[in-house]
Amino acid sequence: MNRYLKLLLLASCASLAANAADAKTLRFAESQEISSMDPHAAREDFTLSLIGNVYEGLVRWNKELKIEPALAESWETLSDTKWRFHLRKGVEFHNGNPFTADDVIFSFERAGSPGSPFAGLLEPIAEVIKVDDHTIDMTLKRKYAILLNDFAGWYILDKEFQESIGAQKPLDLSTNTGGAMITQGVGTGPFKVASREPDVKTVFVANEKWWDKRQHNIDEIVYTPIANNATRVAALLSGEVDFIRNAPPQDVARIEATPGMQIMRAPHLRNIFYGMDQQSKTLPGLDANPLADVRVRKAIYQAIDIDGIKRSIMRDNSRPSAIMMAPQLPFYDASLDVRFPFDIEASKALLKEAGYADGFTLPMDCPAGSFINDEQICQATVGMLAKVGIKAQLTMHPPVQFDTELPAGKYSFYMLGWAGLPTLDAYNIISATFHTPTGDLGAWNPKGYSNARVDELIPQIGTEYDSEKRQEMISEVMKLHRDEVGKIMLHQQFLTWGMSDKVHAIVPADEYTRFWYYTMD
Amino acid sequence: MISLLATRLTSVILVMLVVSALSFSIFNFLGDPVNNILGVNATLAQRDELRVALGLDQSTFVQFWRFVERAVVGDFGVSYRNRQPVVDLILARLPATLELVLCATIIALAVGIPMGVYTALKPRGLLSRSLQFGSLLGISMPQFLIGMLLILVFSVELRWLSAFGRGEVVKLGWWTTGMLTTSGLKALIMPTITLAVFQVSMIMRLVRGEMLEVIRTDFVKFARARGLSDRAVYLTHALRNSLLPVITITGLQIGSLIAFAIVVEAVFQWPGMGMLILQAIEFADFPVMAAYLAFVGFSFVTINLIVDLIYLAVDPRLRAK
Repeated sequence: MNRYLKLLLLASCASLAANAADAKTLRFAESQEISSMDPHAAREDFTLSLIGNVYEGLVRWNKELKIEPALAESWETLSDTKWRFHLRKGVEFHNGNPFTADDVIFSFERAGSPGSPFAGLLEPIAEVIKVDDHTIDMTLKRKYAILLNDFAGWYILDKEFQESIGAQKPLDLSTNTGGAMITQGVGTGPFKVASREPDVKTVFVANEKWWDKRQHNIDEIVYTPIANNATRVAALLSGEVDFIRNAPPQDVARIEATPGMQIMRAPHLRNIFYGMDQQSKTLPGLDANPLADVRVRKAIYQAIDIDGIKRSIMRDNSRPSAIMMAPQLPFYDASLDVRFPFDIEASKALLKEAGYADGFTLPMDCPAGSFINDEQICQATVGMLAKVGIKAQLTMHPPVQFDTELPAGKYSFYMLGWAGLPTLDAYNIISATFHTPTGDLGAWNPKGYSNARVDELIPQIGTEYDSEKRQEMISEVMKLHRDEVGKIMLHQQFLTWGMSDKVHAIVPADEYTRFWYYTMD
Repeated sequence: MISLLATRLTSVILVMLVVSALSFSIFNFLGDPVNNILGVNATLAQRDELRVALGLDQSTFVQFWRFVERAVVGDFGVSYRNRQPVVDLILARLPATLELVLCATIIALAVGIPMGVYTALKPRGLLSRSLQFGSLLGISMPQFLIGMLLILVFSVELRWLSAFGRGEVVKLGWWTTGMLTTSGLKALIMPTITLAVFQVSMIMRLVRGEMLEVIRTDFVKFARARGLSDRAVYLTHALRNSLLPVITITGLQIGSLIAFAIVVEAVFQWPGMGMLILQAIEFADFPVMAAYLAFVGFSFVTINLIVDLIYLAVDPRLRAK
């Protein structure tokens, strides 16, 4: 009896081991934690990126960051403000419920409800009408050019499931309703939520009944947040995790040098720049505002040795840029992406012409830890500006403080980065950072750049459906902003993702982890 | 005894009130959590709406008063970051930190006291000297360095131990423990050592110093004159009289370990209270910070009370009073 038992045990162990060898588990670690499984509770890219493997929108971004059909099979415009979407048939949620027009309408009402972070995103939509179970009509309040872009980040939930767990509204912090979605969620995507322990571990398993053809071979994804950079890298090097996404810049070389490890590089959408107070009459400590003068702005621009920053601080993981648009975005105009050269003599001449031959004192504010090497770049800039006589007084801030004080207009000269996420369109960038601050526009351009022609074009760019006309307007805005030095552009950051060489990932410019394209050896 | 408890209870409430009042007064300088909750694309109107819903538009005093009002009935609000009730969150993280602190303290006492006694009795021995030197290192090395060195050796090079987390945990009611599984016990090793190194060194030096004092006193000489064995003289008489300050310091240290296991928890991604407060500060998660600080105030006062009670047990002179 005992012997049989042993044999049985051995056999079951062997079969377990065999299973373990076949099953592909991707162990993933990053510094952040997703806020919840509720796709309508926070508009924060890391969460949307990870749970974008569980939920799907009507459309989605493909490998090349082009819009492709997802839960909507096709769509047409009935008029400028009326769109018809044909929904995909035969799609099932992870709980087995069929996907229908009712789920889309429910998700629209849920994400668009007052107080939801997505209310702004869905604001252009007046109403959603069910034509039949797999057709819906949308009426827009006005022409809106980037409807599909926005829809890629608006995920569809199962009406019945949400009702069964009492989460008809997004997680609400003031009343604490809908708490069930902290750990559970049901979507239509390529992966299902298997278990979740906030701040410890979230496990996803492959959805065998996914409607799309399966290109990935991953059976399970185990996500562990590891906040400390050194520990996360150690976990990768020791083989405890397979994939850490953003590798800390100082560890890139070490990971690359380790056998069995690799770094995948790709340009990121994010452009880093210095924004400036161009509206105030005086700057703190001065009796004038030198930054209001385009010659001074250009002088600062030309005093910055961007290639030096690229070489010694970014270790070649950046691309100096002249306009605030990454080449990976549609409507990018390469002919405009030409920088004013780094030229200290020209810079000094411009300062002299503007009446600041002796320079001036400039308060400067930077975030510590928001962008790659932000602190080093700001410190290097202080040294470069000193060479033309500008005494920059640098203050570093924790990101949470920086993101509060910057839009409040407390800074005169500050570092910021903008990617255009999650819309992936120039409109997102220019409406937030180019437009004169008015109402909802120009929220991240406090006391900053202001040009009547740019302000006139921006709303038109938001509503123009014709690609050619749109391209013309975007190029005009980009050129005006560049020539008037609306911002002092620095560079486009590169992504450096660290992983085991067993993992075959794609590194898209928007930094999203689309695991349905990943394979493992 | 009862009057002692009563005074301490009032001081618990006072300390918690003062600590939370102080924490509310600094929140305004930390930043605005609304940005983190809504993301960069939110409109001004949305931000203001949420600020009103969360009561952040009110004055610091009103916010504090509302916090106290709700805290009295045990409601500490909802975490902005984790979106869970704060009380649930703290209860979920407490076991991880307490297990870690408890293990570290036990190790510190079990290793530190014998080492202290030994170095006091044989001050000139080679082992004593090397222990003395080692303890100097232990006191001066920063914790994150010890932690990273351990990870480098035992995780990256030898691959024996996991660099992060608690391993598999077992649920016992609301408590979770890593002490019942192999991976859980293995996960405890490195964080415990990292946390204990300083304590071991400190307790050793403390015991040594006290022992050296006590050995010189008259009653030890008389004890020896009575013909008692060395063992009885040193361990029963001398050591017992050296322990009072050790108890005080260990007690106070447990409080600060619970409050400031932050570094060790951050290095090992230990899902405890230290990690919680660290993330809360980064996110400007006010409800968690306020509740956490009140909790830390509470545990300090409680531990002091327990230390006082242990005094009574150890020192008969105090009981006579």
